[in-house]
Amino acid sequence: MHNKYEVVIGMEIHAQLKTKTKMFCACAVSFGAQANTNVCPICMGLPGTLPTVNAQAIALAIRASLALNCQIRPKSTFARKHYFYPDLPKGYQITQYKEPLAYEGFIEINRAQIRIRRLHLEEDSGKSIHAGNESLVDFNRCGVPLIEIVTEPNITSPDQAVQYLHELRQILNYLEVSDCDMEKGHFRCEPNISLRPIGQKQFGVRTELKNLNSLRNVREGLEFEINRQTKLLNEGKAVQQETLYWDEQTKTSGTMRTKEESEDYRYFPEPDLPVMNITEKMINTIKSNLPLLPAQRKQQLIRQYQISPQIAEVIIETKEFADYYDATVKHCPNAKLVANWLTTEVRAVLNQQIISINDFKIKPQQLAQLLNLLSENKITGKNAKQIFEQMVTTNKSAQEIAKTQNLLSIEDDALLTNIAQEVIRENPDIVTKYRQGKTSVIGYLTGLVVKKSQGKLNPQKITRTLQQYLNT
Amino acid sequence: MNKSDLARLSIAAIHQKLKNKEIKFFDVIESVFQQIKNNEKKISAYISLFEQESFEQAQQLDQTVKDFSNLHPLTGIPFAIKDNICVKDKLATCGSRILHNFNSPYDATAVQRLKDAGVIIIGKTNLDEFAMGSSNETSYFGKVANPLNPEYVPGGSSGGSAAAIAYSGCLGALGTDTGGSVRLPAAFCGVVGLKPTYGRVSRYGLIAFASSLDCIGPITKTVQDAALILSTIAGHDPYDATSVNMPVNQFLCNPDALKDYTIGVPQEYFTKGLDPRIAQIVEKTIAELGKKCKAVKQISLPHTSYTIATYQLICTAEASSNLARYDGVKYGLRITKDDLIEMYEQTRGQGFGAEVKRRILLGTYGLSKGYYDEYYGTAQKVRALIKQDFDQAFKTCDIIITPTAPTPPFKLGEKIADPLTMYLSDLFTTSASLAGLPAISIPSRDKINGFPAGIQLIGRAFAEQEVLNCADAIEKLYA
Amino acid sequence: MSTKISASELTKVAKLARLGLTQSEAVSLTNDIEKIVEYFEMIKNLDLQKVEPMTHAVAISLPLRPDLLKAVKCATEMLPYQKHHHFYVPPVLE
Repeated sequence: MHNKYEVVIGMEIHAQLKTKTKMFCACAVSFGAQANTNVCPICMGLPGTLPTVNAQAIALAIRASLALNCQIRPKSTFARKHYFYPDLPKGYQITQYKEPLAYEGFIEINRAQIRIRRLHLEEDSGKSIHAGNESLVDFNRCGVPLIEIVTEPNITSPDQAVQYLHELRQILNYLEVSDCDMEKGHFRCEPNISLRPIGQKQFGVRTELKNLNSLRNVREGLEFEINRQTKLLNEGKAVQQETLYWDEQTKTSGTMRTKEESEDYRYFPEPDLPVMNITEKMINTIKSNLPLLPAQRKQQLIRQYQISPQIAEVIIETKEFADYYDATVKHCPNAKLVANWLTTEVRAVLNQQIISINDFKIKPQQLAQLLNLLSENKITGKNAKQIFEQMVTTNKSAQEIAKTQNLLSIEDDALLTNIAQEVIRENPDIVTKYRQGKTSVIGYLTGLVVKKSQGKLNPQKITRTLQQYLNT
Repeated sequence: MNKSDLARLSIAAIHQKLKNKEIKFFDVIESVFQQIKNNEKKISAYISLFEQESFEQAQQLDQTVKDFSNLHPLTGIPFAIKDNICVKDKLATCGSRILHNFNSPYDATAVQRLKDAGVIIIGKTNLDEFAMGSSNETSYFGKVANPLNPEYVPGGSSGGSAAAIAYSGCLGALGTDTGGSVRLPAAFCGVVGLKPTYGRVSRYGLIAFASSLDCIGPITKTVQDAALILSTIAGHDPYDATSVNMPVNQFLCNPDALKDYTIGVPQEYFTKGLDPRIAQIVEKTIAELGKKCKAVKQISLPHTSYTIATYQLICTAEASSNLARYDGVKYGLRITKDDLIEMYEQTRGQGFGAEVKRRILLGTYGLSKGYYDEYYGTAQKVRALIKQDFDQAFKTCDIIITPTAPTPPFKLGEKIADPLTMYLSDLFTTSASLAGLPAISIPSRDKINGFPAGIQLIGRAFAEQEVLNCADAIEKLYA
Repeated sequence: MSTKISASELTKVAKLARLGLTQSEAVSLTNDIEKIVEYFEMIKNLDLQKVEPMTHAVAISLPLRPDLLKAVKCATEMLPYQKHHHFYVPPVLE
């Protein structure tokens, strides 16, 4: 539909930094607290107060800059951005303008490079709730530290945009720079979109899209906007420079602000904050403590444990998940078994309960115990799943459940011989089939033995015993 | 001496009497409030007074202080605080309708340090609205008159603090100086006003006018008193990122140090804008100083004529930003409207006075799209040149001497209709503000129509000690 | 270069600053501001090409604060214009 045009997307991301206190005061950063309780005279912008800068916010921003291959400015400055809004208590936001902390970075996605123009620090605003004939303002979020990451306009499709966001979130999550929870607003993105005829150098008129609070919304919003612009251009109409607001319900966008209404922010250097000097020493310290990034972690899994790239990809989805994997493998040497279980059984529970691995009831060591039993043939696969299910709902260990419910495999050759002979006796037809060459029926016979032994006999051993009888 | 005349003494003199147990803390407060009763009606130096509390605190001190040998020099001293500096649980109006009902929930760092020293804060003083003015005629709470002659302005913007010191309505006062607001009213009221180096005294709790220029400074009867107060309020504050982490010694006054100083006289300050009577007084003082100091030198501050324009561009831009928070949403005045924009516009339109609006508009204009480089950006470059002028000058001299104001005090109402003429009152004070340097104004011995002239001394950054030494020497010269 | 500030330009600036002005105020302020801006023009006479702007009065490096919680008494208790723990304002239109 739009193959006449080349899609040009740039992306602005705001990620909330994982600090204990706010950007410019010592109030707690929290989510879901009673309105206007995590506020002090400074973040409320009371007369006479002044900002002081959170060292950890700077350290996290530098960490992100390094991971995103950015240049870090040895001297960067803060600036004031002015606009009137009830949830902006000072009438300006402290941000960075002319000299952002970092610039000229990139992320690689499927061998394509998404270039990052700048990364800077700023403070968040409060929140307004719109309730009929008034709006209610909560300043708790006011002053929470954010980094803003701006790409060059070199994203070429909604697909790539979503991949970029996914990758970026994963990196920030691995760095423990941000929780990147989109629903909680820890990670917000505002793309700008323009089209130009293929081969044309000059950019087309761009629009900005707001209110995209999930990756799905990003994809749908971008696709909608590309179609809208394509249609306009095909009809010979001009695209207006404007800011659009995505409506998740109707899956359409509406005008929020046109170019004429665009704000004049009157930026100027923040006089309350002197120039910030970032020394080589600071950068090196942070560099030497940089955790492994997702791509490195994935390679490590493949190399060290011979895990398939597909499964490795699932394990590294979040840092917490990968950490869980590593912790489990420490106690259960069967790395592949752990990988299989994590990516199937464990993930199923997480999805069902809608929780993250951090809130998963079974701890790595406990899971390792279960998988060790399985790995050593002390329980059957079927029983392992049964035990696992109970572990999810109770606080009991695998060993305990297996013991009390009599689920441990037993080594009783006499019993095995008895049941095997019994099964052979009771199923002459199948025995005949086997002897005529249809050896796959052995599985069925094994199943019967398992059943008769109430699952306590090791299936591999049953099969071997049955084969002995049938082959003679 | 009559007990009712105690208020006329200096802090140092009162401290000596307290230490010697010649007088009680109560006597000091009583005497000060007697002066307030006699003068306040015609002068209007104060916006709020805490009479009962002050008496109680004095009585408390009389009961509790036992060790008089280690008494802090400021303990029990009645203080006035300019109403743009926050005192916990007291009004902080900035002389504006928009903050007419705002009580500060915290103490400014300088106030906290004074309280720790045991001062008694007796009231908050009047000022030009948001410290924007040179005459103290723009306060929502009325004009302040000059105690030396109530038909005249006390100078601004710390006119309330200067007037209160001048009529002995307190013993020590804090003012704020952005472009001369401590020094000019000190000069007009015949008292001492010290603007410290930018970064020397924490700005935390000083309600911002122009953040890169604002300083808290003492207004006192004597140079020695100014030194005492500065010693108490100065020093690093983790709550102010622009406060300098540098140890502060007790500032003393050593007038004999003058013999080692070379005094610089900037030729650009003695030209057409200067009242010849003031020129004469300053020149006479320089001649007397010349006999006692190492040398007197003509120096040049070539960009002097650009200081007012530069200063106004910078201070209005910063003011437009600093005053954006007064929007009626969280505190202060709110003009209730159904529409948010209308609420903003009416609250700010009715909450601010004419001069404040003028400066907000100028500052907004100077920062707006397409004008930044032309105005604010350019002014910051000229500011750099003005500072370089001083750097050059201080290679050949230690202290620069100038008049504080180009004219003697003018009559109430005389210049209020002409803002640009009013701005020129700061002709000699803004340069030290732009360069961030310490400067003091001390009253001359000779008078013009009953008003002493202000002598201004400017020192190198963080050389308050030298400035105080030199000022003390002049004070003794006059005595 | 013209330094005249038109009434409409002043209105724009006043709107930007959210300053409600009466008719007569607007007229007198336009006059004053025109004169003052004309006075400002003098700084354009200087050769400033090689001059770095001075943004702060003292050239110190930004101090950083450790990321430690400090229990500060809630700042909102004594402030007006609140209900249900929120500050209320006329509706904000997006």
